[in-house]
Amino acid sequence: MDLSQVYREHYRSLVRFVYRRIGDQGRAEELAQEAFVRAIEHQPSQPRAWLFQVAANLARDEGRRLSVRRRHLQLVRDEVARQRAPAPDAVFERREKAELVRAALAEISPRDRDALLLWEEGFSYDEISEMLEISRGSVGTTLTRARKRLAEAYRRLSASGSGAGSQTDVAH
Amino acid sequence: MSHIEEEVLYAYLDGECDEDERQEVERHVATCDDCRERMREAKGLGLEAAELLAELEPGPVHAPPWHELERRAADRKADRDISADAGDLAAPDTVGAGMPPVPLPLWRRPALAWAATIVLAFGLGWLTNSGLVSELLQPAPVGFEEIEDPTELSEANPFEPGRVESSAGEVSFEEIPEEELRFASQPQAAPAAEPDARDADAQAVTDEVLVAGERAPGEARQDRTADELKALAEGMARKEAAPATPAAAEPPPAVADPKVAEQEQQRATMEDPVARRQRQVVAADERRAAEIAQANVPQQRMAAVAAADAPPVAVAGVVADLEGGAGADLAAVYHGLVDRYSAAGRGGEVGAVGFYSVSPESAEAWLGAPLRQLPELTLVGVEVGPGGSLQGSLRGLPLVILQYQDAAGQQVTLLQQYLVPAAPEGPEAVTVPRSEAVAEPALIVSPGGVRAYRWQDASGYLLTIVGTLSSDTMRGLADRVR
Repeated sequence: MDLSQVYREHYRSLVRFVYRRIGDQGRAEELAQEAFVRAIEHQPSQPRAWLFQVAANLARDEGRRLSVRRRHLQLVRDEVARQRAPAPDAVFERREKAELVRAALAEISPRDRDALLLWEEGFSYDEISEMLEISRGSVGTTLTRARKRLAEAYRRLSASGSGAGSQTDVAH
Repeated sequence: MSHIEEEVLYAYLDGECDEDERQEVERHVATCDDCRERMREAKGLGLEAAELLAELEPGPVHAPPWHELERRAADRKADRDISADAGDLAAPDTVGAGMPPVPLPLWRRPALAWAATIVLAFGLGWLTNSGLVSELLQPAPVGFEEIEDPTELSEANPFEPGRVESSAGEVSFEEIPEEELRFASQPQAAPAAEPDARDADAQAVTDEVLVAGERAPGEARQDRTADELKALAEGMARKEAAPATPAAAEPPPAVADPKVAEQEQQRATMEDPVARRQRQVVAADERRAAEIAQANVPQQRMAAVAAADAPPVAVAGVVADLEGGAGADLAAVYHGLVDRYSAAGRGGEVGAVGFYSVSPESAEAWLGAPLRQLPELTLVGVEVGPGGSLQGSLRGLPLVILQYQDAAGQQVTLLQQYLVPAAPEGPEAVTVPRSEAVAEPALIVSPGGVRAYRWQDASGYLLTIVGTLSSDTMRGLADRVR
C-alpha cells in the first residue's frame, strides 16, 4: 500500500487519534500532516503503525507545550461550571461532555490511553502489542484497565459537576 | 472448570480470540452464571468506553492534497543539512532526533532566543553592581506559552541564530555614558518578570502612563470580579462550542479566538460597535472601560491596553476595533493577553509577558504609527508585546520588535515604541512617558559582545538597536533606520 493510499484511507483516523490526545483539532491536523511528511521522507515498511507512533510522539511533545494553556482552560471551565444564569444550548452541553471525557482520558495512564486510542482506530491486539512494546497477552488487560478507568473517571468527574483537572495531554 | 480470565473475556469481546479460545469461552459461558454475568458487565463497560470516546470526534477535517505533502517533504530535504546520522531514522522513536520540529504557525511562535539576547543585553549591564547577575543567566521565558524547558523552544524558533551564552564574568562597560551608569546602581528586578517586579523597574526607569481611572499597579489584579470572568468564560465557552475547524487560508488556526468569533456573530446582527463593546463590560471595570473606549486618540487606547494590567474587558473593546483592520493575528495577540491577565486575576501566574509574531501591518497597528525599519537588512521576524517587559523599553506603551538579518546571517534587532502625544484637555489625563534617551544614539550597554544603542528620534519614536556587530557598525545601522 503506497503512502498516498494510506493517506487517503487513514488520515482522518490519524487526526482523530491525535485530536483525542491533545484536544485541538487544527493542531491535530498539523501534526498528522507532519507525520505523513516524515513518512514520505523515510518510507517506513509498516506505514500505518509508524505514522501512529510518530503522531503519538508529536502529541506527547505538544502536551508539554500546552501546559499553561491547559491551566487556564481549567480556570475557565470551573467558571463555566459555576455559571447560573445562561441557559446552555445543546451544542454547548455536548461540548461540556466532551471536555469531561477528555479530562477523564487524561487521568488514565499514558500507556493505557494509547492502547485504547489505538484500538479505537482499528489496530489489532498484535499491532498494539508491537507498537507499544507490550506482550500480546497484556494487551487485553491493558485495554480492560483503560476502559474501566475511563468510565470511572468520567463518572466521578461528571458527578462533581465540573471539568476540574481537565487536561488534554499529560506531559510525561 | 475454572472461570474465564478477565483478559480472555475481553479478548473474546474484542474479537481477538482464536477459534479454540472462542469455543472454550462460549462453552463455559453457556453453563456458568457468574461468567455470563461478568461477560455482560464487560460488554457494558466496553460499550460505555466506546460511547465516551465517541464524544471526542473531530469535525470535518482539512486534508491538503497529497502532492502538497510531497512538496513539503522535498523542500525539507533540500533545506536540511544532510548528515549520515540524520539519515538513519528507522525506529519511530528516534524520528525526533535530527528532524526539524513541527513548525508552529507564525502567530504562535514564541520569541525565546533573541528576546533573551535583549534581556541579557540590558539586564547584565545593569545588574552587575548589585550582584544579581546569576539570576539573569537563565533566559527569561518570554513567549505566548510558558515553556518548561527553554532549550526545547530554542530549537523550535527558526529565527534563532544560536542561543546567546552569557558569560557572567565578562561584563564590560565600554563607552557607557554616565547617566546610564546611574541605573546600574539601582537594584532592579529580573527582566520580563512578574508585574510586581516590574513596578520597581518602572519607578527606576520610566514614568508610567496613567489613564484616568486606572488602578495602581498591583491592585488591578486582585479584585477581578466573578462576573468579569464569567463574561470571559462565556466567550471561551462559545469557542469550545464551535467545533474548531479552521479554514485553510486563515492565519490563526484551530485555537480560534473566542472574542473574534463572538464579534463576528455580533457583526452579523449589525449591532452598534459602541453598544457591542459595552455589552461585554462588567460592573467592576465598566467606568474604566468606557473611558478607554471614548478616548479619541488611538494611541492612548493602544497605550492603555498595552499596559500590563489593563482589564481584559477593555482589551476586548480594542479587539473589536482591530478586527476589521490589521486584524486577525493582532486580535490573537490581544486574546493571548486576555488569557494571561485573567489567569493572573485568579491567582494564576502571569509569568513572563508574551510576545507574539504578527504581520508588519499588525505591528503598525500595535505601535500606533508607521514602522521604523532598516530597509537595507532582511526582515526575518516581527513581534509585538507590551512595553516594560524588556528593560530599556517604556512601560505602558506598545513595543514592536523587528528582527533582521544581514548578508552574513548576523542578527540585528530593532525595538521601537511610539511616544504617545500629549492629550488635549479632557478627563483622560494621559501622562506621556518620558524617556531618558537622547536624540543622538547612545550606547547603553555592552556585556559579552552584545551592543545596544538607544535614542529618541525627532518624530517621537523611541528606538533601540541591539546586536553583536561592532560598535561602529551598530552605530552606523542606527543612522540608517528609516
